[in-house]
Order: sequence, then structure tokens, then C-alpha cells
Amino acid sequence: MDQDVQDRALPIANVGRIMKQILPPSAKISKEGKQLMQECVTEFISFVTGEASDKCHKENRKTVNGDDICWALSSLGFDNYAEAIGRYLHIYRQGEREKINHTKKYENPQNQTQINRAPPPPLLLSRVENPPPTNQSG
Amino acid sequence: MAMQTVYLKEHEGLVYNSVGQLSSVTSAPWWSALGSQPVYGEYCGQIKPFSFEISNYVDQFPAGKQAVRGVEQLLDKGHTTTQFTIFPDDCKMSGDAENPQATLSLQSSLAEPHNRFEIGFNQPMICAKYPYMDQFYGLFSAFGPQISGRIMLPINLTSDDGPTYVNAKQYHGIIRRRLSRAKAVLENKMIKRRKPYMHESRHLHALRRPRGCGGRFLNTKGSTNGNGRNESKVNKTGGRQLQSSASQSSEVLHSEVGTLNSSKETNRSSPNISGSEVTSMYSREGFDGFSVNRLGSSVHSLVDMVLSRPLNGLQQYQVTAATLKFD
Repeated sequence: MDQDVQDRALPIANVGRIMKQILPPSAKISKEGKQLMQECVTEFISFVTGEASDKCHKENRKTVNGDDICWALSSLGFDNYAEAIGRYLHIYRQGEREKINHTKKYENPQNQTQINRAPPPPLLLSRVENPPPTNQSG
Repeated sequence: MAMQTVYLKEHEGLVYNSVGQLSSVTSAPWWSALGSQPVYGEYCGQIKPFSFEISNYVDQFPAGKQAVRGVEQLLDKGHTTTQFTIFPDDCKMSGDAENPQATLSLQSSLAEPHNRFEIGFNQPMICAKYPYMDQFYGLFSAFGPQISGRIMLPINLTSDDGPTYVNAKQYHGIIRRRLSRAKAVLENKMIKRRKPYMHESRHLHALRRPRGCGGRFLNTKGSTNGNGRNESKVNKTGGRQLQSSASQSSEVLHSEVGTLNSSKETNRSSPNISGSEVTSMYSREGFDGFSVNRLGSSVHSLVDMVLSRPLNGLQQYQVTAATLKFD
């Protein structure tokens, strides 16, 4: 089955939007700049995920979770990114835990009358910017 | 770690190949072909005694005198004792040879090498999956002094540059990625060409749209803007000139904008403003000259379009992404 690079890469519009976030409002990004960054981030994701997958394979596990990604980043020398991703993972898990608690309260039959009055759980909208791949060649 | 696994598998394959050679003479050219490869240079010294062993078996096959056969049997036992100390896996063969019943020993010696010979066939398939192995063996012998914290990366076949030194932590990861990319190229999964458009139907629609002088689309409803819009139009014109080489991709985006414009309601209070803002939103040049309030108003126009007409998957995704972005 033939798959070209666009099917295996991130959408180029989203890559351009992420690049736009760090630049001043008057800056412009060329088409080939976005295309090159698209290929770079795709290769970086494969690079880090390959390291995490290799660790899971050694430990006879089938699921690559967030801790494996943090370990892979520190193992490859991206210690700054590993720290930032670790903090983000902690905040993300707190949000997920609160969401589960809200769902349990609603599913409890004793609190059926309070479903319409309770406010909806807060939506977690924080994002971590995609770190650029830095191959440190001397 | 993966390299050691491959090396162990290769070593086992060599042992089975050497045992398989003892029973059959017709496969000698394949064995000599394997011996000529530089990867197996370490085992050249051990290959020659086995060829000597094959000649003994050839002499044994034709029937001769009893005295000559007895002398050959004595020589055969002596050679098998010498050879079997090199490979401990061949102890079974020596046990079979020492068996007094000649017919049973011949049958068992013919049966077991065939099984192992079949296992030996798997070796070239393993080698074919790892085309970078030759580089690894060649570089171990030529490994120079290390720079602190850096490991020399194997020379890439495609580029003629000198050796590249990389972070020691990333060395194995880079090698693994090279193997994965080579495997993907062999399986024809990674085609390097980039499509000029994503959807065929949109491409056909863009081809059918009328164009004006210079190749631009007509009826874009951007020419009737006021003085404030002229500045944004100048910016867009500059951006489009930079993207003149990728005109087909921009045509796809223009066709999308045309579709959205044609589906708008004619009784809206300000159709021109919302049309131009939609154009700027879906173009890849970004939101250069617009304020936050205008983006909010364009979000409202997007919501109106969502309610008025059902959208396909890509448009729904873009609308949802734009809506979530401004919350």
C-alpha cells in the first residue's frame, strides 16, 4: 500500500499556526519554510517515539505512555524538554482526575436531582509548544 | 542492543551453515560465495578445514576394498575428533560417528544436517533486512580517537561529506531511525513526492473556475472593499507573489473560499466584510493585519455558516479548530 509523505506527516496548516505563535504579528512564513518544519517535526516525533518504543519492548509492555516519552527525551539528551513535559503531564493528570470525580458524582443515583444544577467540569485547554529537534553535532 | 541480537543470530546461522555443508557437495558454491564476503572475514580460517572434510566424504561414497575402507575410517575418526572440538554443537555428530552400526550412523548423519541446513536458509533473509551492517563492521576496525561526549556517526552512502559527530546519547536512536527509514524505502512506503493538492474533486472545481488577467480567480468579492481593506489586500498580494511557485495549492484554497462565498445568504448586513475575513482566515499567510475583535466577528460568521449548511470533514475540523482557538 503506497502512502506518501503527506499522509504520514502533520497537517501543514497546524504546523504553520504553531510556528506563528512564537513570532511577532508582522512576521511571515514561506511555504517551503513550513514544509521543511513539517518534515523536521515528523522526524523528531518518530525519533523520540522510537526510543520510547524500544524501552517498552525491552520491558515487555505494549502501551507507550507519557512517562515513557519523558524518559525518552531525557535519554536522548533533551533534558529541558523532559522537565517541561513532566510538569505538563502532572497538570494534565490532575485535570483528568478531577474530570473523573465529576463524572462519578453525576453517575451516583443519590445525586440525580443535582445534575441540572451542577456546572459542567472545566475544560483543560493548556498546550505545550512542540520543541524543535536539535541534533547537537560538534 | 539490536546490533548484538543481530550478531548472535548471524553467528548461529554460521554454525548451521557449516554443519549443512558436511552432508551435501552440491551446495559448495553457495558456501564459497558466503565465505568471500568481508563481513565473515573472521571465519575464513575455519572454513578451509570443512572443505577438506567434504573431500573425505566424497571418497567414502564409492565402494572400495575392505583394507582401504578400514584405513579411511581410521582417518575419518581422527579428523572428526579434531574438527568437533572447534564447534561444541557437533558433539552429536561425533557420537553418531563412533556408533559401531554403520548404516544407522549414516542415516542419522544424513537426517540431522538437512534439518539444520533448512535453518541456515533463514540467514540471508535476516541479512537483507539490515543493509547497514557492512558499515558497522567496517567502522569498528577504523574507529579513531573519540571526542569527549561525541561518537562518530557512520558515513551515509548518499552524501559524500566527511564523518559527522553526534551526541553520544542519540547515537543508537539515530542508527535505529536510519534502519527504519531504509526499511520503509524498501517497502515503498515512503514516497518522497509531495502532492500538489489533497482532494481530486476540489482540484477539478478549481480548474473550472473562471480566471482573469494574470491567472487570478474572478468573483472573489474582494475588490469592493473600502480603504481599510485595500491595505490588507496589498499584504495578501505580497504574500501570494512569494507563493507563486505553489500556485496549485493556493488554487485549492481559493476554490474552498469560493465555495463558502457562494453558499452565503444574500440578505446579510455586511457580506463583503465577512467574505474577505473568511478569505484571510483560510489563507496560509496568517492573521497579519487584523485585530482580535475582527477575528471574533469572523468566528461568528463561521458559526452562522455551520448552522446554514452541512460541511464535510475537513471543513468541520477547521471550523472546530478555529472556534476552540478563540475560546
